[in-house]
Amino acid sequence: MTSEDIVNILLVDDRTENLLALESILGDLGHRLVMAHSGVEALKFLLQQEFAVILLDVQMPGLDGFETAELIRGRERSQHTPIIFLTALDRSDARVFKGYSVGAVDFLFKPFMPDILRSKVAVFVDLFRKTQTVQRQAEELEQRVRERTAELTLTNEALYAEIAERKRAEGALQFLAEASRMLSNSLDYETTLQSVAQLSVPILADWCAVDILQEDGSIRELVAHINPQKVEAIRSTRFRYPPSEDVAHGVPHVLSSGKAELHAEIDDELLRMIARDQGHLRLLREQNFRSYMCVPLQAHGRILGTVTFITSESGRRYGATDLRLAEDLARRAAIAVDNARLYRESQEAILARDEFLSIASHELKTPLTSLQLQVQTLLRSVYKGGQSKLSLERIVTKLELADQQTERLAGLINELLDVARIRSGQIDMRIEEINLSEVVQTVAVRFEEQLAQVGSQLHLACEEHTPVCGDRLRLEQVVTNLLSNAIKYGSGNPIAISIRQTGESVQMFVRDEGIGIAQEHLERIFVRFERAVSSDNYGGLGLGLYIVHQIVEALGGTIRVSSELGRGSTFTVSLPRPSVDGTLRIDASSADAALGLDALVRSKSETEA
Amino acid sequence: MAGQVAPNILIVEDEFLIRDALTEFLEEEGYRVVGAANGQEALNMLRKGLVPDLILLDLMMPVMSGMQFLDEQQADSRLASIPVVLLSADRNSQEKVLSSAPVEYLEKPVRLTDLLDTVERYCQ
Repeated sequence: MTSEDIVNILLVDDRTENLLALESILGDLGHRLVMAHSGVEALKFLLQQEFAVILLDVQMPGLDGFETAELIRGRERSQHTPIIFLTALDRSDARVFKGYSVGAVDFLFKPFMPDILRSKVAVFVDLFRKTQTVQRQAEELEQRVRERTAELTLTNEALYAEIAERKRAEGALQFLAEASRMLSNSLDYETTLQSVAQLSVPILADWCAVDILQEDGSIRELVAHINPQKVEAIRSTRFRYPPSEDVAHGVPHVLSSGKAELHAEIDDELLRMIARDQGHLRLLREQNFRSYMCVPLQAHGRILGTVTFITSESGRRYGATDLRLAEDLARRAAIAVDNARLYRESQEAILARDEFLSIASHELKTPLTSLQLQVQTLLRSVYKGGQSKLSLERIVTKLELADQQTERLAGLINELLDVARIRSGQIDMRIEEINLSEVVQTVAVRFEEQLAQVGSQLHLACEEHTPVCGDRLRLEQVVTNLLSNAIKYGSGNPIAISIRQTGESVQMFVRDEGIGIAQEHLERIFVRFERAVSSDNYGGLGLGLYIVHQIVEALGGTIRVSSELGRGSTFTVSLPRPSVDGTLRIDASSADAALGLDALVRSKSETEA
Repeated sequence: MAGQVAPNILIVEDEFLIRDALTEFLEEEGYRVVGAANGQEALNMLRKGLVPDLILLDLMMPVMSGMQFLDEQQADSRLASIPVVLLSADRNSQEKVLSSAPVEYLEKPVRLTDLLDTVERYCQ
């Protein structure tokens, strides 16, 4: 018999000799016999352990057998434990009946027949063991069911998570597809970015702000909010507390670092860190922010701005997946913006080129027409032979006019060729020490007639010794172009040229008191094909300042302009004083930078740099 | 053209040398010629009662361009019937004008024989 087969049997009798007698009869079965001398003691044992069967004497002082049985049955643990009553009393039905009614399963009458006693106990022990086995199996089964259920629950959860993930991914794809469609709808970048903000609310955020870095370095913002009434409130908050540049978070930081930011949980500590003062903190708290992301708008390595996503009302909390989606959206938006910008710039470049072609046609064909008219009238006069009505004086005048037109044409053609040479980096310069004041005086003499025609007086205030490094002809060209511009746009008012030495350089100022240049045009006037005023009113190819700029830069100098509309303009050329000599070529890459046609593929800021 | 009043031509051209040469040539050919340096001058003359048989019109001019002049002229019922011939160097601008106004054009530089043919056609 293994230890598992051994069961407990409770023997209850007030008389020790009876207990010993039972022990000797049942000892052979090999089970553990527990002996109790009273009902109370039996109940105590029953509290401590489980029994396969109870042999219970009926006649006992204190609690008798029936009372003890009733208490045993009253307890949950022992309510089904079989009880065999032992009695020496008569076998009257009433007693037996009472015995059964309190839960006896059998009666044994003293004196016992040992075999019968043993076999009866054996039957109950066997029953107990089977019950135990069944119970164990049931427990095992239950345990397996529990385990399986747990497994299924886990699988289920995983499946739900997967479905949710797929739904989210599908949603994200759909969102991005919709975004791409909207982004490709417009080539106007402001419309494009406004649609990014609108689209993000409420799918990705409760409110969304797009901050665009402007060409002048300022930030322009577009806002969308789940509650349109709040847009103005946010705008005014951001106006009162614009993003500060000296902090390591927020829009300026993302703009400078190009790295996205994610705050899954916006707590009060974070708000206190962000807030400028108590008023700001109060406004921030009122917004009830929950979660925050800020991603850069980046295309071709350039940061164009940022997109900020914030949740409040929805209580949504951003995670790594949301950040990826936001970054993806921002990438697409940035490319759309960049495309819009390129389109706009190419349109501008095409317009500038078309306008240039119109002006060039006009400027070249006007002297050509004039020249041709003189020649044709002369020819007609010759064909008419002796009947010519033209006097010799008239003939000379016409030839002189024709000659002047040829000169004018040659000048224009040279200007165009210069641009072509600059474009291909082929301007050779003979660098030598040149006194700039002398150059100015030489050029001034050539303009005497033209100055007299428009009624402008030229005042020269040049230091005597103003040596610069340069090519004489090119420097004459610089002075000529600046002076002819001053005459052309000078409204007949006085013009002044002054030259002085300052440290390492020589500075020349050419000032007129004419129509001036509007602020918005100042940046563009050194760009090829650009002019600040309409070509209808002022002739010229619009290449003069471009050529001046290129020559001055090639000589290592700088040119600046200051102007006030209606008050005149001052051009300041600064050239280095001599140090080395030799040949200097115009650097093709720096010359290229100002070419109008290149603006087709370059950003505006690059071309003007 | 003996016995007839010589046809009257208005030349609107900002370049003095061209205006002068054209005037001299057309006068030699028996026309009466009036010159204007821009669209505004021409318009002023027309509104003061000048009735030319033909207007020769340059396009790129200061103050008022040929295009602006045409808009004004076409909009004024008393002036709209005066025939206009464009005389311009810029083919692009000419095309733009031709698509919006019923005018003929001569391209600069212009051969005097071509100019004379055209002028005669309008002034018969």
